[in-house]
Amino acid sequence: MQYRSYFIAVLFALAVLVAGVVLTNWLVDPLDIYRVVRKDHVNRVKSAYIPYARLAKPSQIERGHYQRLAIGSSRMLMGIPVANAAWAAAGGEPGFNASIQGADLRQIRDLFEHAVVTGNVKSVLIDVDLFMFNAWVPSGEYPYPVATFSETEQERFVRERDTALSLLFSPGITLASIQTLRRQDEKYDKVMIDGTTNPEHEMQHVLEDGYEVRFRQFEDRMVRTGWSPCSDNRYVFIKGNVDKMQVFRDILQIAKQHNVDVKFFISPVHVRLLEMIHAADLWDDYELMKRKLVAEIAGVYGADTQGVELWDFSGYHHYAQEAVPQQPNVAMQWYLDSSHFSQALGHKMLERMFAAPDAELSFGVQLRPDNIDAVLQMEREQQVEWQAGNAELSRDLHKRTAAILKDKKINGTVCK
Amino acid sequence: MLGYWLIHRWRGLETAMVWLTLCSLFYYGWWNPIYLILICSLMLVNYGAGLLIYQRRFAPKLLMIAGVTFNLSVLGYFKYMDFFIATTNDVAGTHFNLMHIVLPLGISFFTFQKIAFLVDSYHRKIEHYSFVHYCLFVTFFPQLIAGPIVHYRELMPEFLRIRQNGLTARHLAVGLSIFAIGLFKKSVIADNVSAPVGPVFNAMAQGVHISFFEAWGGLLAYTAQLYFDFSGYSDMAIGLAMLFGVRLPLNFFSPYKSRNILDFWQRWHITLSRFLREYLYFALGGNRKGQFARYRNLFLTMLIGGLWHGAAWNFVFWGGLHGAFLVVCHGWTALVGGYKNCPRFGQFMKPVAYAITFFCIAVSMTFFRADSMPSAMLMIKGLCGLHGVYIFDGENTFHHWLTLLGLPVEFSPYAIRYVDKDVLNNLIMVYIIIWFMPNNAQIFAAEHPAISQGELLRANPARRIKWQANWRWAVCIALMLLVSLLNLNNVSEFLYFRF
Repeated sequence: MQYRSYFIAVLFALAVLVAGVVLTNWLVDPLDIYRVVRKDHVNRVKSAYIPYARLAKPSQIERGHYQRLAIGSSRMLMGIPVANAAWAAAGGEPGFNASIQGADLRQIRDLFEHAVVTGNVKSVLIDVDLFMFNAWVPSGEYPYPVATFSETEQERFVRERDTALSLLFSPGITLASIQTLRRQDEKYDKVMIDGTTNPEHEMQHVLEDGYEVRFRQFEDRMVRTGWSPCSDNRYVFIKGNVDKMQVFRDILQIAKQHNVDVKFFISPVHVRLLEMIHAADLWDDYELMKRKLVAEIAGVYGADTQGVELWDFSGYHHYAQEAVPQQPNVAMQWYLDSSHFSQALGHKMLERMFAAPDAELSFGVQLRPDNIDAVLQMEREQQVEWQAGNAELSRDLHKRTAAILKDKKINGTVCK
Repeated sequence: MLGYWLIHRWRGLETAMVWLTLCSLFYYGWWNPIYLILICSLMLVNYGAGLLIYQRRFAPKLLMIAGVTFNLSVLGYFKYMDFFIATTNDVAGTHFNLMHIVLPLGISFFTFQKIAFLVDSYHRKIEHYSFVHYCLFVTFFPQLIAGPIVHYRELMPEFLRIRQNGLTARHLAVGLSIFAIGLFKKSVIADNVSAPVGPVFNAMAQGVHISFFEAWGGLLAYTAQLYFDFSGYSDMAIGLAMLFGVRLPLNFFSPYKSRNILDFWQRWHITLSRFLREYLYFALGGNRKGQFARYRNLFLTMLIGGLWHGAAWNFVFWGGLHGAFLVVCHGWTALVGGYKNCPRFGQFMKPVAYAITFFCIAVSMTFFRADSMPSAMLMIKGLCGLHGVYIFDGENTFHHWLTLLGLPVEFSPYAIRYVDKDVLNNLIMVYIIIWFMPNNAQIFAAEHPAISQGELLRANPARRIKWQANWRWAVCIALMLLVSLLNLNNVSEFLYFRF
């Protein structure tokens, strides 16, 4: 072959390959963005979606023009069903679950801003947790381009260009397309079209492992790194120029300025996890977090809190005290592990927050400056009562926490 | 490139060279237009000085020394000022503020090129002077940012040969192919193997105790990353230059296949070794004044070579370490020189020599990557197992074998914070490529794409994989380009850009 022919052959082959990759990614649509083709046994099951959820969510929000959004961490992703009648009636249609696993507050804020800039969202649910407010837990901007209020036309063009490149011509998405084509079994159907994880799929995994195993794995991880990565288990709200409450304040200000109805909630974690928070000497920080959230809302909204609510579903209530089966293949009703609640409990939370007629009024309380002291006092009393009635379990949890903290002291990250 | 080819066809080589110079300056100025003033001023000053030195108009030796000092001062200001201030503060207890000077791109490389030009002018190694040619020599974009360190007397004849031989399709075919393989090495292999490097070394910098397998996993990943990053960039530079009808000197030749540290420095950053040898080691006296002076000069040369890589004491230590390795190597050669006649001993020592050489190179990379001496020492402790030898829960067979070897192994969830099975699999694959695959110079040997590769190729000829202009290679190169372009969507940086 002559050199000239070789050179032309290389360029031609490259052009064909590039066009092929772009077309494949667009049609297979592994992240459910374009929705050009959605065929059973071809690409309906988005088996490669979850690892790329962070890449997908902004584009899905932008293209979906959703009225209702759930934005938060894995608790929201797994536990809050978007297709809830009470929420739909209050917030309008369509709705979408824009939550991502391990989301920190900064990323939630960025997604929220993106949703307000690009769409017409009216009702937003945001979950807040202890790990989100520790200034020692690293957080950063949303890892993919998102819209901001201050973006110029050029910045918007660059953002849309970079997003399109990532979605149509990147190694990860190309592999995701191949995986999507190869894995069309129902067992890979992990995500529903409204963004929530498939509860049947989650339940199947949990049953296989067994709840006790799942509970322990999660509890160990939370004590080890979840609330504080520091070897001395340090927890602070402000460190240097990192102020996690400032991020919360930003969310409030965006919601207020753009008339978006926002409901925050503190998740109904299982008593075992509450007990480990207590054993890790973080209970005071947990209470302080709630006080600070109430104060921040009052600071931004003042006396007129129309459009913002903070709900506390945590505590030693009967749901959180559900017994954990010791053998595999025995189901729980309200929990998947110590922290992640089931969609059945998620429905109850939504009915309570959106004042459904059959809502359980004793489950969850809206926190305000005039009731925060009483609520925290009541939770402490419930804790003491539970510890008295479950002394052995409480001792076991304290002992496990101490062992993990000891290991962490030797091997954990030194926070300077 | 299109402009260069068209202008060369219609207006001739000189005009095409002007075009190339302007494009190269545009490319350099794209990063920061202010530093165009710097590079242009330095070109004017150095060219003028070189011409005056060659013409012997004023005291040529004094002028050469002044020119070299001037260039080193500029480099010292931009690159080493904060290092000097920080060291003064540490030693003398002062509190001078750092100046946070932005390092101009490629300054370490083009400073050395200018120094070589002045010294070559003094020794009358340059025959023809032209300001346009000199500007092109300094700014030629394939080698401007990260080398190779080219001499004026070797680059210009390459351009002038185009007058005789013209620009042909062979330049395009071979240049594109070499470039594609280089890009693949950089954007696919180097960037993917580097996954654990940042987490391991950052954790170390924060004082986390890195366990044995984490330390070795992180270090081997960095050693591989640097290899593919640098060799990939060198290939890209050679391929790009070839697209313009020009050959650059070979800069990289499978350095991890070295049988001793001397061999390593003849394969790793070849043009830097050459510069240090010709312009520093010989200037210090070389080996002309006895063994002690030889070893001293070698050690000093490597110390300065280390400092050139970065303004920090860990780089100086790395250079000193390699200086010590070279001294030991020379000493060992002198000691066992008599055993060369014993082939069995030689055969026995060969694999041992390769293993020891690679081990020394890899361990020295700790100091190259660490951000300070304390974190480098933490890494060394991790490599020695002083922070524990942990494996993940459930790896019972592995635990059993390691215990048989006498290692104090424990199960811990901290075992795979940064290095897991995927990382280990990647490492195995890349080291198979490093140790058993031919390099680009061998694959393209028949096309002679680089200057000064003859000796190395004669000693290490290509065996199986040889490039040819056929459909198979065309599809292979196109696939490599596709995968590389896909991976370019992942953000990465060339490591040697820091210099």
